Amino acid sequence: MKNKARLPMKWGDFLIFIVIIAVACGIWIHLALLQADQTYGEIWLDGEMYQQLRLGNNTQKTIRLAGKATDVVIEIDGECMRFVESECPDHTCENTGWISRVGQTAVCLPNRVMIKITGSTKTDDAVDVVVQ
Amino acid sequence: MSKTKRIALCGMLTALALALSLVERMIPLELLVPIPGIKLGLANVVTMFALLFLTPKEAYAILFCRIVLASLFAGSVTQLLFSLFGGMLALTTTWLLLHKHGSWFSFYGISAASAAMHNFGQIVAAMLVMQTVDVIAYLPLLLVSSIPMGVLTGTILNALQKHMKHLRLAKKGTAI
Amino acid sequence: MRKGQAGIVLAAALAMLLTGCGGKKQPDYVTQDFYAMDTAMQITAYGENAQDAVNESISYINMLEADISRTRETSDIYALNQAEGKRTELSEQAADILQDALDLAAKTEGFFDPTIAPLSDLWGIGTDHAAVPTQDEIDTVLPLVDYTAVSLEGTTALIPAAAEVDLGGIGKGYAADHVVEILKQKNVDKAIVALGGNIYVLGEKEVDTPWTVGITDPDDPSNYFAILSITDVAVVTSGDYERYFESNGKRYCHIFDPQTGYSAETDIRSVTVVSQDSASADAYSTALFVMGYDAARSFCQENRIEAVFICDDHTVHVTDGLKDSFTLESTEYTYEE
Repeated sequence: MKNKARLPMKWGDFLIFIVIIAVACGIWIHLALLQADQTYGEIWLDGEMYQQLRLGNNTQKTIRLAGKATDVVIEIDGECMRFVESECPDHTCENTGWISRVGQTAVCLPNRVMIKITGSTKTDDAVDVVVQ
Repeated sequence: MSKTKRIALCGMLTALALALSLVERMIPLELLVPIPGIKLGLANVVTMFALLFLTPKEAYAILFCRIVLASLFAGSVTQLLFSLFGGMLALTTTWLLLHKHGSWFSFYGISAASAAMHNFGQIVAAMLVMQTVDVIAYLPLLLVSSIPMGVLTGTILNALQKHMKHLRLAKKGTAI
Repeated sequence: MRKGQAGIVLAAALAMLLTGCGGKKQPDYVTQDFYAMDTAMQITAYGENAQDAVNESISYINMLEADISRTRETSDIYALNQAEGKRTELSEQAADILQDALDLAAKTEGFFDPTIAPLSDLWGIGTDHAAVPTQDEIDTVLPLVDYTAVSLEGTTALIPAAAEVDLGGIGKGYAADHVVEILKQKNVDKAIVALGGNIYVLGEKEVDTPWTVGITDPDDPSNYFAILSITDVAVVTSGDYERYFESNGKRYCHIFDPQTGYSAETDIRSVTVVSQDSASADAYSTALFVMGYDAARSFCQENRIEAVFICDDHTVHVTDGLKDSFTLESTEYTYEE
């Protein structure tokens, strides 16, 4: 009885520990791999991050936000995002079209809204900067 | 143990669990894992204890009372959800594993599994509440931390069990 | 033994905890996006003083803008434009940049002209009242566009009544040059300065590795059609896709021909100038665009300007000095030696 009260560890305990560590490692590695080619769509309003969205196969979203001058509508479809509509006077942002590669940006100047694609890995052909 | 004694014990344990869950709030776990409402699960020690020395029914009752009362005192619906998910999962795990206590598992393993399931439940609740799968990123950290937590709880339970025997509170026919 | 095993498991768990959350590496650079001079800007600087250098650069740009803005009522240039033919005292900085602009206007024989503002106001491209003006309207405004009518002596300037000076055409280039100076002073030897289409790549990306700069595809402005691998230079592009409006199926872009008073009629879709000096690259890219390919090409030859041209027949032309650093990426264009 006295011996039992001390209760040394049983083999099942180690099994539990191993399972916990294995699951933790599994999730960790899975996330790390996923992170590697995960891209994000970022919306910046007047130099501040407004929203960051995971981009992926079935992301479908339309976001309307109030820019400096007018409302701006941004569409996200899978890996791509774009300005669909801005009531601003110059429509440069809509003309930019879809962006999808890491590092690409589009700007609606009058509204000071910028969208850009970020991610941990740049695709092989990505450049450091694009002159517009 | 008489019925009155049992009820009194249940009440006491609920109060203790409640106190622990309030103490828990003072530990800034959210600095490490930025999910609003996430907790260490200290109060689960009490429910595990109840499971050991009382009946499963009473353990669940204590857990439920503790969670509802805690969120009434200082909490939100979010916290209620997290606690319910985490607590119920942890308790059920403990209950299942206790069947093989002494033969397959010791308290260390059981409490580690319980802590792991508690954290798992919290993350699942967070995923549902926050409508995002991003929070799963914190799960590996929480899972691994449940091992030292489990060992700690196991040690407490071992010590408690030794003393409780002298107090003769344990119900008749318990496996311990 | 048992205790030892538990200890090992604990130690392993703790080690994992530590590596799991303590291993985050701080990036060794600072990137800041901001808006100034009516455009989106970004400065990325590397090294210890990066944040400090970037902050100083931004306050410099804001200060410069306050000085040379055409729309801010407190700026020197605003005062000059409202002076109705009277001599106006400018700050040293405003005078300096005006002198640069006049020099570049002279060098490009007026193809770049800092007095184009009355004309661009008339067209209103980039505003909600963009429209093709009548010939009468253009004829009224056109005489005002004449950089030779600007007289600058020391720091006092004089322009004819109703004429206007707009330093926006080289302002960003001028700013980029000075930002690079600020960065160098702060011991930042590696940076990308992108002031709304005026790019300056400072230093090398890595040892013996140049920066890669994409040139926007005029047909698909979110993509680039070619890459320049370059170090320590300014890159500026002027193109018809930047700001334009369409009327009766015709595209009118925001760059004007100071001779005709019309939106530039050119066979160039975009021209990219690479130079040590961002302010002149800014002015040259505008001037070359207006000139049209043949004239632009010989202008480059005479003045040793390095540039990449895309023409409206989808041909790409690169000056000799850039051939080694140029890579065509898009198959939509043909590279002509």
